[in-house]
Amino acid sequence: MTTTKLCIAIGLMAVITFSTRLFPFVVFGRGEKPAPVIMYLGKYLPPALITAIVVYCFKDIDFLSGMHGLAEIISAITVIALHYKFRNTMLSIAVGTVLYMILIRI
Amino acid sequence: MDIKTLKYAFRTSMPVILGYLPSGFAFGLMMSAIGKGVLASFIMAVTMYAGAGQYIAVDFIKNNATFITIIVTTFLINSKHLFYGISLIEKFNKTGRKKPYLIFALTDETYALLTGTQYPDDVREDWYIFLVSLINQLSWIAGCTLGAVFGSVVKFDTTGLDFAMTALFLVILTDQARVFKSKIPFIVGGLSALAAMLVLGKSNMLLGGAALSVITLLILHKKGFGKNDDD
Repeated sequence: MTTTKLCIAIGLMAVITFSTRLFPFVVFGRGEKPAPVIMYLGKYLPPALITAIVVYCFKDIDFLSGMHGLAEIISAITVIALHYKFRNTMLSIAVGTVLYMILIRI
Repeated sequence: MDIKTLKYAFRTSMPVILGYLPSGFAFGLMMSAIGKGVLASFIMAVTMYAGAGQYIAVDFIKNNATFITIIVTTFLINSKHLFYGISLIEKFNKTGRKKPYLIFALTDETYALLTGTQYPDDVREDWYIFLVSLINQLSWIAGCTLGAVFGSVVKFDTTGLDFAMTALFLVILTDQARVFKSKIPFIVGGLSALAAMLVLGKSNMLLGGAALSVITLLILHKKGFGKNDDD
C-alpha cells in the first residue's frame, strides 16, 4: 500500500468508526425507538461477522502441504479453551500467539 | 476538575489501562512487522481508536485491500456501535462541550466502565466521564506507539505474529458464543465467508462474506428467526 493510499485509508476508517459511534446520538437523541429490523441486525450481525472474519483469518492455511494447518488448529483451540476457562483476553491472545510462533518454527 | 475526580477516574480506568497497554502494544508490533513506522501506529491510535478495527486494518495495509473492502468492512465491524450510545444519551447530554469527544472515544471497554461502575456523589460527573474516556485512550495510544517503537528498535523474526489478530477474533467469538443461545448467526457468518471465498476468491471474501451474512440474516428474519427473545 502506498503512503498516499495509507493516509486516505486511515482517514476513511477514522471517519467511518466515528460515524458509527455518533449514529445513536443523532438518530435516537430525542428518544425515538429504532426500527425492529435494525434492532435485529444490531443484535445478530456482530456474531455472524466475527465468525466470517475468523474464517477469513484462516484463509491462507495450506491443508495439503507443510504442517497441514496443524499449527493454526492447535493454537486456535488453545485460545478458545483458555478464554473459555479464564475469560482473560490478554492471556488468551498472548499464549495463543506465542504458541503459534513456536509451532511454525519446529 | 479536581484531584478527587481525577483519582476516581484513574481508579475506574485501571483494568482497561492494563488491557489496552498490551493489546495496543501487539498492534504496534504487527504494524512494524509489515514495515509501517511509528507515526502510522500513533496516528491510527489517535484518530481511529478501535481495537478490532485497527487489527483488521493491519491486514488491509499488508494485502493492499481495495477502498470498497476497507469502507464496507470497517463499517460492518463497527456496526455494533450503531446502538451502543442509546443508554448513554441522557448522561452525555449533560456534559456540554466534552460531548463530541466522549462520543468519539466510546469503545467497548469505555462503554462498559461508564454504564457499569459506581462513584461517590461528590465527584463531578461530566469531568469523571471525560477523564475515564481520555485516560483509556491515552493508554491505548501509549500501547500502540510503544509497540511500534519496540518493533522498529528490537529486530526479531516476527513470522507468525499476525496470529494475534486471529486470536483476538477467536476471543470475541468465544465471548459471543457464551451470550447467544442460537448458533444460527455463527453458522450464517461462517458459511457466508466460505461461499464468498469459493466464488469471489480470497481477496474479496471479507466483503462478500459480510454482504452475504446481511442478506441471509434478513431472509431468515422474514421467515421468523429472531422474532422472539429465545433466539
